[in-house]
Amino acid sequence: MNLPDSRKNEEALAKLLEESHKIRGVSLWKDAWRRLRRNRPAMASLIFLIGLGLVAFLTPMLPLQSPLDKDLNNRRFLSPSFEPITMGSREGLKFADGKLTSQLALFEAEIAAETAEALAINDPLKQAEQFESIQDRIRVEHPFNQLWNQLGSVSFKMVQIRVAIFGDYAIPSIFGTDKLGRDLLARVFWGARVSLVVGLVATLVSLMIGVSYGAIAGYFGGWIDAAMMRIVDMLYSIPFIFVVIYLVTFLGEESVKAWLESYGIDQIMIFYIIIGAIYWLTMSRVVRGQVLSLRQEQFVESARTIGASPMRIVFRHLVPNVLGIVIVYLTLTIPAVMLFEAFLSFLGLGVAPPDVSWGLLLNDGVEALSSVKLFWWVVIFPGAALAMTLFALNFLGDGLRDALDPKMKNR
Amino acid sequence: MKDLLGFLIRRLGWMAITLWAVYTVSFVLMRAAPGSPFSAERAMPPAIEQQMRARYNLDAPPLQQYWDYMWGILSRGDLSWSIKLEDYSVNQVIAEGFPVSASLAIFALVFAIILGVSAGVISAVYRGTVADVAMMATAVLGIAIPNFVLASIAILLFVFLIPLFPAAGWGTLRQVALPAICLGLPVAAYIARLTRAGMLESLSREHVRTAFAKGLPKRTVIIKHVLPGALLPVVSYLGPATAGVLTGSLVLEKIFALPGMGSHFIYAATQRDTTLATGMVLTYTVLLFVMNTIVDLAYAVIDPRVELE
Amino acid sequence: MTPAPGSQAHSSMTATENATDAPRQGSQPLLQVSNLKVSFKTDEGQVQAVRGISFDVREGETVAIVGESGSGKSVTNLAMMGLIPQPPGRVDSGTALFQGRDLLKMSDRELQTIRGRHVSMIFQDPMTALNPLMTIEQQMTEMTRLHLSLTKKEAAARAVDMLGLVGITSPEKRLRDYPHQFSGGMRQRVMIAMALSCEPELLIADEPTTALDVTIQAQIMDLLADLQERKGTAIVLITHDLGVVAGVADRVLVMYAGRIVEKANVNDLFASPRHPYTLGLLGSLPRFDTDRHEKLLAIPGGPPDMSEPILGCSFSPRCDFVQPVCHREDPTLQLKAEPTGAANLPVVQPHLAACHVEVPT
Repeated sequence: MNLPDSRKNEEALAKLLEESHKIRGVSLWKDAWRRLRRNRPAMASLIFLIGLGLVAFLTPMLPLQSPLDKDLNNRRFLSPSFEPITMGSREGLKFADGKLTSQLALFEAEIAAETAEALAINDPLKQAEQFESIQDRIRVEHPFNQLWNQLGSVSFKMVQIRVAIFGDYAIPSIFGTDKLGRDLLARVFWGARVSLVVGLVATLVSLMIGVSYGAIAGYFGGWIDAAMMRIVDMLYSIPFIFVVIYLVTFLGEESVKAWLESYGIDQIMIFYIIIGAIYWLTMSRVVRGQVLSLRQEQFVESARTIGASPMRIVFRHLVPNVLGIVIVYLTLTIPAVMLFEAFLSFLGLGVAPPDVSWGLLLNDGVEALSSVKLFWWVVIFPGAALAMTLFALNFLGDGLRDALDPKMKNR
Repeated sequence: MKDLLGFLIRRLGWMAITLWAVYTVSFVLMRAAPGSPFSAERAMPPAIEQQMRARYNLDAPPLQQYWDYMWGILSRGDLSWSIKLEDYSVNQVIAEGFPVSASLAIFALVFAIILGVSAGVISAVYRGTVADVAMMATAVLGIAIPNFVLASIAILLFVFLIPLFPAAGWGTLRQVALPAICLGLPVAAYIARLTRAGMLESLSREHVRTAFAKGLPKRTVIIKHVLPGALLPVVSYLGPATAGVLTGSLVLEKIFALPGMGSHFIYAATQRDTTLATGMVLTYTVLLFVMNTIVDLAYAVIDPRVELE
Repeated sequence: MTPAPGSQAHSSMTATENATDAPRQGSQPLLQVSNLKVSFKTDEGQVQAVRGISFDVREGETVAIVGESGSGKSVTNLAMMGLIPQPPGRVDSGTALFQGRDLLKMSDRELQTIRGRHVSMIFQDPMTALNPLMTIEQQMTEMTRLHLSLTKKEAAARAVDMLGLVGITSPEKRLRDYPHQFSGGMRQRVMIAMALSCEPELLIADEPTTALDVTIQAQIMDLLADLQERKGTAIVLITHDLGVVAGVADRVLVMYAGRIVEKANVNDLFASPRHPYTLGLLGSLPRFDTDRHEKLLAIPGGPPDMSEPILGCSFSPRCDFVQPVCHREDPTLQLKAEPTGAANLPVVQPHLAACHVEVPT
C-alpha cells in the first residue's frame, strides 16, 4: 500500500466518523415524551390526573363544607342547589352567631384564658392535670374537630389556612347532600384523598414485590426461576378475593385491631398492604419476561465481567431497563386497585367510616338508588369522579405504552 | 395423548398442593382469630355449647382438629357442618348455591366472550371509524365503572323504569339475564380491548400479508389467519376473567338477592362460620384451577408451538 | 444515442418513463409498470417512497430490482399487488398492466383472482411469512382449492407434488407439520412450493434469501432458477445483494431513493456500471479476483430524506463524480451504451442510467 492510498483511507474514515457525530442520539425517555405529547387523550389524562392529585392534596384548604357534619333534620337528600351556605350555621352545632369564625374566636379566647389560668397554678402535678383537660377539651370541642373529626396535624394547619382565606364561605351543595345531610361535594373531594392514596400505595407495594420477584427469577433463571414461577402459577389459581375477605374480617376483629394498634399499625395501612400483595403477580411475570431477554444483552455480560454482584446487576442494570413496561403496568394497576377498593367498600369490608372513599360513597349512593325516590345525585357524582379517574388512567396507560414501545403501538 | 395425560396428572398434583396450602392458610386464619365462633351470640347454656363444641370437634388440640378435618375432606368429601346455618352441612350449602353461581358465571362468560370478541373484531377491522372510537370508549367506560354501580343503574332502568326484567328471583332465563349481563359487561369490555389490540397486532404480521398475497378474500383472511392469533391473549385472559367473574358474583348475588355461593360466602366470612368459609374457598380454588387448566389446554390447541409442560 | 424503435420512437431519450428503456426484442410484456408513484403518510410528513418508476417484465425472464433498504423496491411490488396498507400508504399515480389489465384500477375482488393465481409472491423472512397456527397442508391447499377449484384430496395431492418438487423429503408426512417444525431454508422451500402451486405466470420474490444462511441462499436461488426453467415462470427478484443477481437475473434495475437509476442486461451492468451508485454497490461487493490489499469501499453518507422534495440528483450528496449540474438538475434515464451479446439474450435491454456524468468504465 502506498502513502496516498492510506491517507485516502484515513480521510474516508474521518468522514465517516464526522458523519456519525452528526447523528444525534435521542434518549429513550425524551423520545417517549415527544411521542406522548402528541397523544392528545393521554396528555389530557395526564393533566387531569395531576390536577386531581393537587386538588386532593389541597382539599382541606378549599372552601368546602364539612364532609362529616350531619344534619338529619333539615338537609337529608337535598338535590343539588346553589343556595349559599355559611360554615357552622347548623343549629345543632350551637356555634356563636351560627358562624365558624365567631365560634373559633370565642373558643380560642376561652382556651387562652384557661391556659393562662393553668400557667398560674404552682403545683406542677395539678398544672399538668389542667393542661391535659385543656387538650381534652380541644379534642372534643374545637370547632375544627367538631366539623372535621380528628384532623391530622397537616390537615389541621391546612384548615386553619382555609379559614384565614375564606372565612365562613363555603361552596353551596352543588352536588346535593346524602342520606345523613352531609355535603356530597365535600365528601367527593375528601373521598378522592383516600381513594387515590389507596390506589397509589397499594400499587407501590405491588410494584416493589412484583419487580423484585420477577427480576430475581428472570436473572437467575434455571431452577430458581422455575420454582419461583411455579409459585406464581399456583397463586394465580387461588381465589384471592376470598382470602382477602378472610383477612379483612380477621383484621377487623376488635382484639386483633387493638393488638395491631399497639404496634402502631392502623387498619388502612394493612388494607394497602393486602391489596398490594395481591396485585404483584402479573407485574412479576412481565418483569421476569423482560429480564429474561435482557439477560442475554451485552451490557449485562460486561457488568458481570467487571465483577458486579448479582444483586447489583439486577437492581442497577436490569430493573432500570424494564422501567418502561413497569410504568405502563403501574397505570393499569392503579385503576384495578381503586376498583377493588370500591368493591370491598361495597361489601362493607373496605375503608371504615368516618373515613370517606369513593367506593364508600358509591355504596351509599347505590343504597339510596334502590329506594322509591330517585336520589340520582348520590350515585352520579361519586361514580363520575371514579369513572373519570379510571378513564384517565387507562388512556394514560395506553398512551404510555404506545410512547415507550412504538413496536407495541397498534395504530 | 400421552402428553395430555401427563399434563393432567401433573396439574392434578399441583392442584392438590394448592388446595392444601389454601386449606392450611384458611384454617390458621380462622382459628387464630380470638374467641370461639359461638362467643358472639347470646349466652348459650353450657351443656349446649359443649354439645356444639363436640359437633365441630373444637375440644381437640388444634393440630388434631387440622388433621381430622382434612381427613374428613379427603376420605369422605365431608366439609363438616356449617356453624351458623345449623341444620345444614357445608356440602348441602355448596350443593344448593353452586348451580346458581355456576350458571350465572357461565352465562356471564359466554356473553362476555361473544360481545367482547365481536366488538373487538369490528373495531379493529373498521379501525379509526366512528364505530371503532365509540366502541372503544364504551369499553373503557365498562372497565371504569364498578359493577355494583352498573347493576344498580341497570335495575333502575330495566326493572323499574322499563320493566323488561324481573327484579329478583332465580330460575328462568329472564331472571338470569340481567345479572349475567351486568356481571359479564366489564369482562366483555376487557375482552373487546384485548381482541382489538390482538387483531391489529395480528393484521400487521407478515403471514397475513402472505395470506392476502395468496388471493384469499378479506373475510377468509380475517377469520382464518388473523382471528386465531388475535384470540390467544383473550384465551389467556379467560383464567383471570373467571376469577373476576367469581369475584363479581359476590356483589351481584347480593344486589339481585340470588341464592348463590357468593352471598353465603360473605355471610360465612363475616360471621366467622369457619367450616362454611373454608369449604367455599376450597370449592372456588378447584373451580379456578379447572378453568386455568382448560385455558392452558385451549391455548395449546390453538397454538401448536406451545407444548403442555 | 439511438432512438428506440417502435411507436415511442418520437419521444426523446430525455423522457424518464417510457422512451428508451423499452427492450427491443423478445416476447410481449407480461407486466408493464409505468410512472408508478407511491407515498406514505408518516409522523415526519408525506414520504415519497416510489417517485415514478417504469419497467416491464417479459414472459419467462428474470428481472432483478436492486437497491438498499428504503429505496422503494419492495413498496413498488407491494403497491402493484394492492398489498400496502392504505392509509398510510397511497398510490399517487401510474399504471401496472398485467396481461393488459391495470392492477392498480382493479377492485379487491378482481385482484383476488390475480393474486396467488397469476402473480405469486414470496417474502424475505420465511420464519414469519407462514402462519404459525396452521399446518402446511391447510396453508397450501386453501389456495389451490380457491383458485383451481380442487377438491380437498386433489389439493392435498398437488401440495405433495409441489413439496417434492422443491426438494422436501417425505412430503406426505410433512404436510401435517406446522411451520415451526421446519428449518428456515425448508420454510422458504415451502413458501416457493406454495407460491408456485397455481402455476402463476409471474413470481415476485422479495429478498427470498436475505434471512437465510449463505449455503442455503445458493440452494434456494438454484431452486428458483431450476423451477423457472421447468415452469417458464417470469420472476421479479427483489434484493439488495448484487451477488445474488449475477447468477440468475437476465436484466437488472438499480433503484435509489424511489427511482430507477440504472437499467441494463446483467452482464453489461457488472462489466461496466454507468451510474456512480451502481459503481459504489459493486465496490462494496467482495470479489475473488481483486488484490486482497484493496479495501472494500463503503458508500459514504446515507440515503436522502424522502419526506423533503429532492433538488437535483438524489445521489449527488454521496457521489464521487459530482458536478455542479447535479445539484440543480434531476437527471433522467438516458441511453449510455448499446447492449453487448444481444444475440444470446431473451430480452435485449439497452444500457440506461440516470446520470449527468459519464462514469469512467
